[in-house]
Amino acid sequence: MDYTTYSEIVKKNAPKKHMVRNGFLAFISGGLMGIAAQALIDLGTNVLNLETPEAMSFSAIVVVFFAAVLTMFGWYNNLAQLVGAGLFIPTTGFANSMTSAAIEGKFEGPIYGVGTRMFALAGSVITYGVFSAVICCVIRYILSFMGVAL
Amino acid sequence: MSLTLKFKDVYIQASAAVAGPEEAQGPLKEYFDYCFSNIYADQKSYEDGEKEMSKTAILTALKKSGLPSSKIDIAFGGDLTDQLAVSNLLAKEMPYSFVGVYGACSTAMLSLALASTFVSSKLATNALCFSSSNYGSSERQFRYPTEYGIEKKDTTTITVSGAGAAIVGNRKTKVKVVSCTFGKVHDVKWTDANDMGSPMAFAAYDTIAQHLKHSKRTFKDYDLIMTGDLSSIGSKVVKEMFEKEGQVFFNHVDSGSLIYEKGEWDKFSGGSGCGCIAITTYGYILQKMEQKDIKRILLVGTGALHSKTSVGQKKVIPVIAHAVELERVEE
Amino acid sequence: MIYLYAFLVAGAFCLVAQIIYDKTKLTPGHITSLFVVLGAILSACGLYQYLLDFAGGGASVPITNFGHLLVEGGLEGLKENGLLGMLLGLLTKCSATLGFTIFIATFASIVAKPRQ
Repeated sequence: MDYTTYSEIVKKNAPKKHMVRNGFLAFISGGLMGIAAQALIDLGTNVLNLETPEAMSFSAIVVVFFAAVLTMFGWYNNLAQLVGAGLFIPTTGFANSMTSAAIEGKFEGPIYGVGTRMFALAGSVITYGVFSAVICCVIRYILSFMGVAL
Repeated sequence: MSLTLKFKDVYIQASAAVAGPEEAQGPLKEYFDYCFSNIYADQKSYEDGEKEMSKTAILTALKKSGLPSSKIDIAFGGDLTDQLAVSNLLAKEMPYSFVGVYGACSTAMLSLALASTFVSSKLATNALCFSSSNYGSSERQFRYPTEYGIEKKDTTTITVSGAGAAIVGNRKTKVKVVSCTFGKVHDVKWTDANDMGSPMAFAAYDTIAQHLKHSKRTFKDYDLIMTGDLSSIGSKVVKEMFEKEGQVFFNHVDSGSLIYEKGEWDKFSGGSGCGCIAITTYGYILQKMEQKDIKRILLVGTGALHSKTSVGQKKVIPVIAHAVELERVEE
Repeated sequence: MIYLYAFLVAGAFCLVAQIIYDKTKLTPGHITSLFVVLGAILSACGLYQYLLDFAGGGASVPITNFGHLLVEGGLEGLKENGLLGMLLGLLTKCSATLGFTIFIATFASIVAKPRQ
């Protein structure tokens, strides 16, 4: 059988994508994470008397904690299967990628198992975050000599 | 063109299928010799667990055959782990020769075909063949940590945690290994590692077509033609490919669709892995043959021969299928 | 009202990411890396702070905020001490998230076993 006929058959039998359902679930889940994060910020400013930047850090830490605990109990990935980007875009995704990799890395020991594998999935976020941040800051630095205030 | 061999005096002496917890809840649970309650098989790591399942399958098969280890001339086996580490670590406990083979998910049939070739050519009197896979060990090697929250696509297949072993020899038993076709590796320009059923369907189609041609047979000559893990998608593709050629592939079944209950949300498109066709054949199929429910079957193990590195480098996923024909011996 | 905006903004980021995930072959690793860079760029343009003021938690919880925190720290350090100050300041704002995540992931590796 030639390749063209085969690939037509494959295309025809590809399962239907549930893009609307997935988009809806991601939107709702992401939105709820936003609300939870804001509630935590308000908790920080009103109850713990933190300044807004510190309250935001507090909010992030609690979100990380929540994601790590769910990962440790084995519940996170079932939830993530349902909501997709609704969990991998918030900080929960970052925390889960590090926690799940670290937990599984334990079999290869603390150095090459846990220590190295922890960053296997989250590493690129840190890498490109820092790399692009440096470039952005340097561009701003150069612009500051042309009158654009820092 | 693929090589088809007709065997002489090769019979299944004994077989065993060992499964994990998910498979123990599936429709074939009654046919497995032993089921572990966790994928670690109570060991320290996934890899140790897989080794333990494989060991249990081999020892059970040996016990059922009544043969001592000294009567085994050679063993063929493999798994999905890097460098076949699991099978090699197990093989160091074997007093007989070991040939590790990698056919990805076609390993069970590849090892059965090779073992049968040796027995048929009188190079061995009794040969052992085995293969295993484990959800944990293969997820962490090929995909992601098991607790990672990635939304798996619908085309995903779930690696079966299980091990199957069989001993083939020249002593006449109820099940005869009639012939085999060693498949050719195909390139269907496929790069999506999330759907392996679709490319493997091409390999299955080619190997089956070659086998039928060389054996001068048609679909009607078999009670069943069972593929390894084409997934629900690949199953449709292979049937349609034959339809386009004017043939009705009416007796197809995929072991990946037999192993788990249909429609389970966390099983996606079905089961896969070396263990998939291994435990389905060595547990379910052979028992069905002995119970006279199946007379002649063609088992088609299919494999996707990629690695994480090759996929990372955007290379295509080569695919292969090896077929073995079994027949019940009439008294 | 900020709760409504938080819901909408965070939801929107996730929806866009989900569409990219479903329509392309990009993985969450690719998409989150893309979003972090996006956050850094929006921050360097001075736009991300508006989003934070508008939607609060809805802008701080997506991974784009990580990019913003990096740039914010970098710019602050830049103001004080030029390029060296930029390097000193880069990780100051996101240190809480990053440090805590590394800590708790290591802790998890000690107490938890996957798939038990």
